[in-house]
Amino acid sequence: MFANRKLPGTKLIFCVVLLSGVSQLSGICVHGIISDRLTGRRIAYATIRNSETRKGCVADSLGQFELCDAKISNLEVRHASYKDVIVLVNNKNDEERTISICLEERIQTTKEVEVLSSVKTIDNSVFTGSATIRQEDILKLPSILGEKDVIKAIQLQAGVQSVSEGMSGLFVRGGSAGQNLFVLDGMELMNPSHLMGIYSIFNPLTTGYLNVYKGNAPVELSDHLSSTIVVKSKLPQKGESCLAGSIGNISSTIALQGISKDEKVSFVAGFRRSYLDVLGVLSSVIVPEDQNYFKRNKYNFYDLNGLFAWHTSRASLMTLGVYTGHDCFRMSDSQFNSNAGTEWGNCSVALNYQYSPFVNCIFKHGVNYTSVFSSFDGILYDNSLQFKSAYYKIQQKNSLILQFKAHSISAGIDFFFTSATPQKMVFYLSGDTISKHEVFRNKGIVLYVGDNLQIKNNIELYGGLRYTTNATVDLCATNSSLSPVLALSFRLPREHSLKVALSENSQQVHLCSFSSVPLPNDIWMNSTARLKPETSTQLTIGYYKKQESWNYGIELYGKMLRNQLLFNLDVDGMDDRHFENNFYIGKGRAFGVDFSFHKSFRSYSVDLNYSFARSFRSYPEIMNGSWFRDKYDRIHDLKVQINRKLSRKWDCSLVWVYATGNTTTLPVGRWWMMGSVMNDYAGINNIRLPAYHRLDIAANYKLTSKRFKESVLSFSLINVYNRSNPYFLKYRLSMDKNQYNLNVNVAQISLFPIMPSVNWRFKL
Amino acid sequence: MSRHFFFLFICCVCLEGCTSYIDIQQPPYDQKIAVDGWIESGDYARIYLTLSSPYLTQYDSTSIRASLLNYAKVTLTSSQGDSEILTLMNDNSAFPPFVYKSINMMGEEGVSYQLTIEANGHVLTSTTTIPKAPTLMEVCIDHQTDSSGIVKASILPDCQDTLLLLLQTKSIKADKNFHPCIPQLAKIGNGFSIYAVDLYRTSETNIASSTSQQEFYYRWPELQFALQDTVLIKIGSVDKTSYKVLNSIFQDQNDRKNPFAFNGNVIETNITGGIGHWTGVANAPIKTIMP
Repeated sequence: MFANRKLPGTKLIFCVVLLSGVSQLSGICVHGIISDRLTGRRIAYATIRNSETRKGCVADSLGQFELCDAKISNLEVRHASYKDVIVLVNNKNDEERTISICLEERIQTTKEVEVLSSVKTIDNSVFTGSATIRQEDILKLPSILGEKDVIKAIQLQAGVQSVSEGMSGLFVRGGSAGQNLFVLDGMELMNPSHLMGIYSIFNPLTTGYLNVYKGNAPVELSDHLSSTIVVKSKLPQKGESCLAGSIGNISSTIALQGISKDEKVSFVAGFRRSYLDVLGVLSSVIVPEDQNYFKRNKYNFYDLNGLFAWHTSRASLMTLGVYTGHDCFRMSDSQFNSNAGTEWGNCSVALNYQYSPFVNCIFKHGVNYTSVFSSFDGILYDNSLQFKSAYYKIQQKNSLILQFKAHSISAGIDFFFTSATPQKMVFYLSGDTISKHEVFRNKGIVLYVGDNLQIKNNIELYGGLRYTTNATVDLCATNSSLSPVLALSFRLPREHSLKVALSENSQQVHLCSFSSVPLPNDIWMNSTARLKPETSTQLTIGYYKKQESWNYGIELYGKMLRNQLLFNLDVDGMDDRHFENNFYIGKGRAFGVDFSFHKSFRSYSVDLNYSFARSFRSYPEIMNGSWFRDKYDRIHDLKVQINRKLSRKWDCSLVWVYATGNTTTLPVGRWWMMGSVMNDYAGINNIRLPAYHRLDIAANYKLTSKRFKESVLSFSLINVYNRSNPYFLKYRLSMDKNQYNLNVNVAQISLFPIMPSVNWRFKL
Repeated sequence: MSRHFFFLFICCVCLEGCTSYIDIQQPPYDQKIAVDGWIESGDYARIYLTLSSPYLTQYDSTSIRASLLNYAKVTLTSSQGDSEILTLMNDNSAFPPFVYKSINMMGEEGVSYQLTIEANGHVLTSTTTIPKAPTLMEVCIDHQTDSSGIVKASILPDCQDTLLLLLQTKSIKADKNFHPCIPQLAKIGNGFSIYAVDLYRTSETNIASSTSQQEFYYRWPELQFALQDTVLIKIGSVDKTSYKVLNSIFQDQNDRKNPFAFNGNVIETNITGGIGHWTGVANAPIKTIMP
């Protein structure tokens, strides 16, 4: 038996619902599925509320819900895109507990709606240090050489270092570049950069949103020490099929998204390619060959990513994600008879299947493959070097999500196999050939379980445990680690909230850098008997205040890092034949305060993020194990972002960053040996480079077009006041032997001068 | 060597960026006595003493003289009981142009030598041993172009122990003294039958000279010797302590052109109370490659 009645002010259409079997004395639980009346497609995240007690819940991503209360007679069901309904619940039959609710699409004709501003929320999770960034936020930012970038948006977060050009990596809360987990649509991507770190590999036109966890994350994502960055592609909704594109100074992007008529199949795919090589061909018409920079130096990158989704039934979803990207850089110099080049890239594919056998229960299964490679080959005179490194990982993942009244439980078991080839080298030197080739293979299992428990309306607790066992295939060594995660959130009166999180993470792979800055050619290496998994313990305490148009948050954190690797160039004699022996193994510690502030006005918004951070390292073989400043120990890091909507057609943004300079090692003294000048050191990273600061501005102009759904011209100016920011220092000794004059010149190398750019973005 | 090759490429990439000269503040520094001391088998001991200077200060003709230490008392004592106070002499072929030299005592294989330096109220001490000399089988030049090449040397390993070698060359056209080539050092285990090593040319000092255009190898291929040059090859063995000290010094020197390198930035020393090295070398007979 059933009945519907209209909510005030709405046209109500309802479906027949048969419901029975609800006990009124001991309390009842109503399970339901919400779907579109016309298409039958499940409707995610609708709200369901008991009309009498006002108690409610939200349907999951598959449109399922469960609501338990002492008595349920009327259920109010609401969704922004559908008409509201009230479902009358008949309690006669105690055995029937599942209802099916169909909603009808809301069609509303109104004047054009103009969104003037929106409020970002800082605390949207039980975890401290988590944030969500949407595509709109990314596309507003100034672009470098006409290409918007996803990672640049992450770098505007507090706790993430704002400077990374010339380096391929993120530095989050005192961690290193290899301690960030990047996941795109379920695919783990190991090398996140193009063009020596200037761009990231994520296509901004296909990116829907991304979640950032700065050290404390749910157990299923606690695979790396510093951060987890989960990027989700934007699958189209009904009527959103389109061809989008973007044309910039050095690269262009095209993205295609579509959805079937029955809305069961949808996809998004994007392709980017640079055309610096085309500039070389064009410039050769007017510039002589030997003076043509673009002819002598060739740089290309491309990437292709896609996500295909198929709702195989009302309760199941299958997705296939793919990514492949490649960078290639070559330089030649006839004067030195040299020709050298380097390449690197990622390739990844993930097939996932999720289904819900019953309400509030989701099973997920997936297989994914990810690989990363880099190579270098060069000829100098008659000598040549070929160097390759590669890493791949195959994972089979299984997880279960159960949602109860106050619990949200996730559990899973993953199986993985990894293979690292850190150095496959052939070095031809004056007739002799030196070759090295080592492969390290590991296999392992990850078990995890986590529970998000709503203790009271204002208290939420997350507890999780992750166990990883990792065995080397060839060397019979096993590393096991147990990683607990705890997070507690209190919602205080008047929109204050307090959060505490404590987690111990372990990371089974190491990113080995040949140099003091991370480069795209850095090598991924498996854990072995000598190179134990990296581990960390991080405690974070956060305080947040949220108001209608503004909010702020302060987070204090401290972390200890263990089994940190540093490449040792000074390996004695024969020991460097084995790659494992090329490292110092030490520890690290980091602490700091992150402050975030956001204010929205009628037509503009201001974001201010500031970090005070310290990061130190210690290695037994260096300075007798004394603590020294990490290279990326930037004490202050301030980011200011202002977005302003000037008119219906124009909006603009401004980003200013200020960061304390990196540390670097400078000899403190010099002395003579055999007529040469030698160095005398007094520690590592003993001086700071000059501070880094930069102002970038952007303006977006919406073109009016009947042909395009969207057509936007973006103008950007990077480094407006042409600040020469330091990338590194180099020293040169020069002497006039006749006059006994000796000079030490310190030169600073900078990468970006003032750089204007223009970009056209469209949707067809 | 392969890593340096790789770094050369990376440096070229980075130097395409913008360069500007800046001022960096000199960190606090206490001056130390620096020792550059050698005793070779069959030769007299030679000790060059200087005072180290803050890194970012400029030397001129006055201040450079202030860095020379020519008023020390240097005493050499051997494990055989001999002792001698070294004599300060001019040495115009080297810098600094003053050397403390023994007149009576000469280096012998298998003998340890203790050095005691007294200056400015400080006493510095150090000990080194001259090991057994290596056997240099053959040297030849391997042509890389019509007019240049690199030197190939064959060394007979010690069947009992690991040989720790210091490799030096001297170009008659370009150099005044023997100096380490590339590689500067080599370690030969006893598993080899004959150890072959390629020797590459380097400049005598690491200082960029304003008169470099007048130098013989100014327009010659890097690392290679001219076939018209006469090259002297001196290969000697050193003890473990000296090898460790010299290795750290040369490693730092090699990394100097690479701003991305990180090698721990520690220069070892076997001088107690100061910096530098005191090294005993047992040389194989010098071989010559004629045009």
